[in-house]
Amino acid sequence: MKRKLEKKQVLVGKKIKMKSIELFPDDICYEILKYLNFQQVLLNACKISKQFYRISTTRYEFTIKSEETADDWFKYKSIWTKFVKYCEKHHCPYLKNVRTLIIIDVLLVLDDDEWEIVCAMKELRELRLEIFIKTLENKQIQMLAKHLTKLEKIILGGNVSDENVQQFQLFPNLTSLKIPQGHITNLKNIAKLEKLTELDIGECCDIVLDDGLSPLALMKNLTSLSLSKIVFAPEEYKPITQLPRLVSLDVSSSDNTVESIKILTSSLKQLTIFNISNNFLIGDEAARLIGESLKQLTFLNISNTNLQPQGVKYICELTELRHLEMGENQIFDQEVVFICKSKFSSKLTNLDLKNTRISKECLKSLSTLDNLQYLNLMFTEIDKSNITFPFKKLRFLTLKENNLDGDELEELTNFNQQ
Amino acid sequence: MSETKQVELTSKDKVSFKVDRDVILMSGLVKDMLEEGDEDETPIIPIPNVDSKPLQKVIEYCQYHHKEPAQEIEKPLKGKIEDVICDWDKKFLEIDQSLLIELIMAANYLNIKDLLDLTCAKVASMIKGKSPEQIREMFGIENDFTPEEEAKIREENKWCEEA
Repeated sequence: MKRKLEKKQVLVGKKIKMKSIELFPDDICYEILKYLNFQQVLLNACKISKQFYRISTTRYEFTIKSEETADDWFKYKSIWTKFVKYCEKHHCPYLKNVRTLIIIDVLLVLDDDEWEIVCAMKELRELRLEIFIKTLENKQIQMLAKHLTKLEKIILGGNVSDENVQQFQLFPNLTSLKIPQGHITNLKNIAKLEKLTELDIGECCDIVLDDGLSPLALMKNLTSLSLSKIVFAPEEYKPITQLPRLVSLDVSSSDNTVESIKILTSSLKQLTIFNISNNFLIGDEAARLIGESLKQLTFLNISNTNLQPQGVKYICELTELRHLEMGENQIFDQEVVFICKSKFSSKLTNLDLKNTRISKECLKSLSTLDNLQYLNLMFTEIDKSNITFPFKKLRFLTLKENNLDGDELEELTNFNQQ
Repeated sequence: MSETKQVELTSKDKVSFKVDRDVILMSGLVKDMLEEGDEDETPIIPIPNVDSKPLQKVIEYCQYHHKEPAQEIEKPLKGKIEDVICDWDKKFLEIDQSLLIELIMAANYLNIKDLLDLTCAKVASMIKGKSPEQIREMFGIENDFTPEEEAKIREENKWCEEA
């Protein structure tokens, strides 16, 4: 980053204004705006001065995010609706600044005019549409590809077909494709997207495995792959074990066996992120294979895998873990002590132990994890503890659904105020 | 035992600070200057755009964070900045507004990205939830819009008022 202060801007200020943000160069104002969301920018910041208005309309990168939430559905739906109405009425100065468009709203149907508004976002880099798409028409994708030439990341929830996937080749800069719950029947067309580094086809339950995963062997640039909720036989994983750059793999909820884990861990030693949660058949033997082979892991989700105390010992052989999820397993206080004395304990920032058998006895050990920022202890056997939490960096702690009353919860979660 | 190499920084108001070379290498500007100079000398680097008070704060920041790398601050901020930074940074930011402004200028000039991020996020946190009038008053900014221009912008942004 080379943004040197312009001499002129320092010298021209009168003494009285030397300490006002009025004299900030555009680059600094822009840096400040980046920490505000688009509503804060449009409603307040852009009205501060002509300089802030100019930067808001020319440089600020908008994320239009319209999200369905259970408690206030209409409020969030209205962000997109209002934006569309505004764009229809006026020549919208912000369209070109939108870099990310996220619409998560299962009941929303985009009409032709709204597709056109999306297409007018020429600088769009990320498009995430989790909306009701009965059938995604090829002409809609072609229209997007014609206008959104800078698009790098597409996330489409639901009803993406084989034919649709073929059209994705029209996006010259596409590096990330997530089509969870799509209806694709083979991976040949996906494999033609050679630039892809990230691919998520989780829950694409219609995959008919004539070729299995073998087309993916061609995708040498792939660094991240999610095959969550798709069931493969162990030997069917073999094509992806040859991917030289693959560092992140999600095979959660896929009825995997120890044999599957053996095939994956014996070849993909470069993995840094591994999610094998919700595979009930793997247990301690899988933990042993992981502990022995995947020495570079920084993220491991091994929740709900029938892990027993012996398996935890194997996991503790890892050295680089920052993020560990091992909830919904047979884990007791003694296993927490192992984790806290492991080789990775000083690096651990996230730990999820929800729905395990741990009690207040392990809290003291947990408090020795100096870099812990996130700790989930829901549904455990922790009751009144009478100890404080001297965590240095903890930002998130949940103790819900334990045998604690309101005051005790407050006492325990006061750690951050100290 | 070899001594730690030092660098001498001279502020705009001619105050000198001796700092470990490793520490001040967090500044992109100083790093560039040191790369151009002779390795064996103890270099004196003038910092003509920064007064001693903010320069001292900059050094304090570098001394802490060259060992404890700063964590990235989320964009946009979801809550208060105090919720996402470490205790040391919270204390570090307990400064008056004019020093904060000078610190931002200094971080920008010296090209210290993490410090610029922290201080800009702090200003953003101060702006958040305030009306344009309150922001102008807080930072002593002149309203250079005409009433017509203000009305136009209000109309332009009406769509997200209730969003």
